[in-house]
Amino acid sequence: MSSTEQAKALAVRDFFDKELMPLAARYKATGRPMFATVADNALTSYFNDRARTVMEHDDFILKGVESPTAFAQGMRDHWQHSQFPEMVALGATLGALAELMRGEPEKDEALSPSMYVMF
Amino acid sequence: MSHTVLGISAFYHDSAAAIVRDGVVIAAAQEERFSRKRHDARFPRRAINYCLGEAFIEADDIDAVVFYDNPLLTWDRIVQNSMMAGAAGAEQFEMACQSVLGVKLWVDDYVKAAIGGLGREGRVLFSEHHMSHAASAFYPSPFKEAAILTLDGVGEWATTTLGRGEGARIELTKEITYPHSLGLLYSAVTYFTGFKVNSGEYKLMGLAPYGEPVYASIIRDKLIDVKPDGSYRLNTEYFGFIDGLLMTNDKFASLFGGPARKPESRITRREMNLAASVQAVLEEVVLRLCRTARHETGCEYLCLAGGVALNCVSNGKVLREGIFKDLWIQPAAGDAGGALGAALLVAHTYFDEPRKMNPSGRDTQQGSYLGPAYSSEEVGAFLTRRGAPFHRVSDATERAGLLAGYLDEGKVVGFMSGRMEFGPRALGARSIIGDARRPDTQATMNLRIKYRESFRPFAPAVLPEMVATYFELDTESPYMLLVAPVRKERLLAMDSEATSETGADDLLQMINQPRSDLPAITHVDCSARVQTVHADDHADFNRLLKAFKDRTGCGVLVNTSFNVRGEPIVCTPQDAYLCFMRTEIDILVMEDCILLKPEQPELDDKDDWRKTYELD
Repeated sequence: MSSTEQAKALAVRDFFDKELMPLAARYKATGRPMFATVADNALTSYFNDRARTVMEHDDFILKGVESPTAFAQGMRDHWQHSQFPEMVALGATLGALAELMRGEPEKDEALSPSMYVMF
Repeated sequence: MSHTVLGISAFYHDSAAAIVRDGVVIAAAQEERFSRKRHDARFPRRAINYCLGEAFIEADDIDAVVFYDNPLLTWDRIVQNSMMAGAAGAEQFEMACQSVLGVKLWVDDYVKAAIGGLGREGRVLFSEHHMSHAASAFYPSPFKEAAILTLDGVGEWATTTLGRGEGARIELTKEITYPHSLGLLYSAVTYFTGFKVNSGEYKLMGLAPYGEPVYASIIRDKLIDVKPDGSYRLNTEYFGFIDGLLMTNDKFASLFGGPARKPESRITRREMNLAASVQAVLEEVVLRLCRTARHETGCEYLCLAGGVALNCVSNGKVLREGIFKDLWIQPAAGDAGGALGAALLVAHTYFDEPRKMNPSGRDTQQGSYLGPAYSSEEVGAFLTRRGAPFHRVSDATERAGLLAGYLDEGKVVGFMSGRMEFGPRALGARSIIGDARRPDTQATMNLRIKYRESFRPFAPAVLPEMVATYFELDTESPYMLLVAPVRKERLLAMDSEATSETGADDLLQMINQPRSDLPAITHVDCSARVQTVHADDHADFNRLLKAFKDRTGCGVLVNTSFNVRGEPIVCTPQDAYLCFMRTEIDILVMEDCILLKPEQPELDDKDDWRKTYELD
């Protein structure tokens, strides 16, 4: 592993251990899971009403993909209006992490035969 | 004012590009066809180049570039998923950071590198994943108004959406979100039965008729809770995708008597029954969702997209159930079609282009022949340069008659004609064609051409006016997306040793037992995945079917994709010629040039091409 790759791996691990996990623990302690993981017999439907039902002209303009700083701000804005506004705190280090991780175009990623590609 | 929109899908499954001018699709193609890497998910710069060329434009002429998915919402899901997974999710999070923060967030960089700019809008536009799917299904459909249902593994947060389209407006009102996903459930069983996730789902569907749905009750009791309206939740305790790098976990395995089948190992009765079971559950859920869509929207027609919409067995049942008067399914229903949907959505909602319907009452997908074509002159020049002897038969009727004769003799024909298909199915532009009546066609095409033993039958291409003669289907199925029973009067008495009901486990023995007078296309449950070939969509293929019918009385031919196992479907004359020469295809037709195998010089093939393509 090159020194750059090591630095990236360390930064990701730091973000995971020092930012994500403590916040996750706080949500867990207050009984607020990020999403349901099992059935709920009390519900008559698992459908959610969509927050955005149509794509209007301005909805196609996505703020947060221009630069790592814009990305961090874009996520902060998103989380501010979400069910989990405490996640805004992640934005403080997210920009630096994105800056570090930003790679070269044309990276060739092989598809895993054992996992649906969802990230 | 005229608007040209470039749509792009990339980074997840099959990447693709599409170009739309004034709301009309000019071109669409998957990157894999050019890069020759199956399911290529890399940024589709080759497909973009093709689309620009097909539209006769330079990059500066593009009004807007749109990406089919919102990477910020995807990142939100990844972060929240990691928080739910806890410490166990560290490895998955590291991979996600490399993938999303390293690559997938920076679409602008890729677009600039590929075309030198971002179009006249000066920025890449972003759609939402399921809006792109919905647009890909509704806009090209023949319906002015329709319910829309999208189903896939996951896109951003959504896994299932429901809504309606009317005119140029699409509204998605309800959704089911990650981790609850019908697509992920199906992919989990795909993994567990030893097939590749992201591509082997089609095999699982093909395996289902061999089994009995004996595990369906376990799936309903333990894995998925389905409400009367078709909405559902998975029990994530049994799945590995939240905190691991496999779709299922030990708890899942304990439900089904042991670990996952190893890829390429023998398929046992357990896998057959699992396939039948998850297929049965999927169909139940889809039918309930369709009833809800009918009730919620009041629409008489349905449009479907998302990877689950490639499940043509389920689609056939939706049609036969009669919930809707008719349905239309985007042929590139997976992520590739997202490029097309996103471009159409921008055309109609960002630029307010009016939606143009096909005056004939048919769809505007153009048969999905949206890829590159090669002229007779180009093919001739290639063959001459290659030193490959060929016969030019310019009269289309004469050519069809000649080919019908070869097919009647049992010859197998590589057929390259017109623009390449957009979507995973070969529909006669890049197809291998054979005689569906011959009992040996299936084995010949599998073993001598595809270099595989397959438990799946081939698909029938049929004249539209004769579809009801052969199948219990009375509508068009131009995209091979509907499975229908073969008509009872065409079925043969069965050897009881070779039926699935007896519990025999030899798939090849079962499939090789003729079940109808069209044995090459009849599955073990006496069904077939039908393609109707309309003259307006593909005149040459329709003409060939008519010539074969005139000669033999049979209006059906076997149609399978023009490739070997693991290879993307051929695109260029070079691809087609190499595939022809490396296999035992007898005749190659490229436009009006006909090549006979015995006349060809030996191929100077230094590549060990069988190792070139990873097995699917």
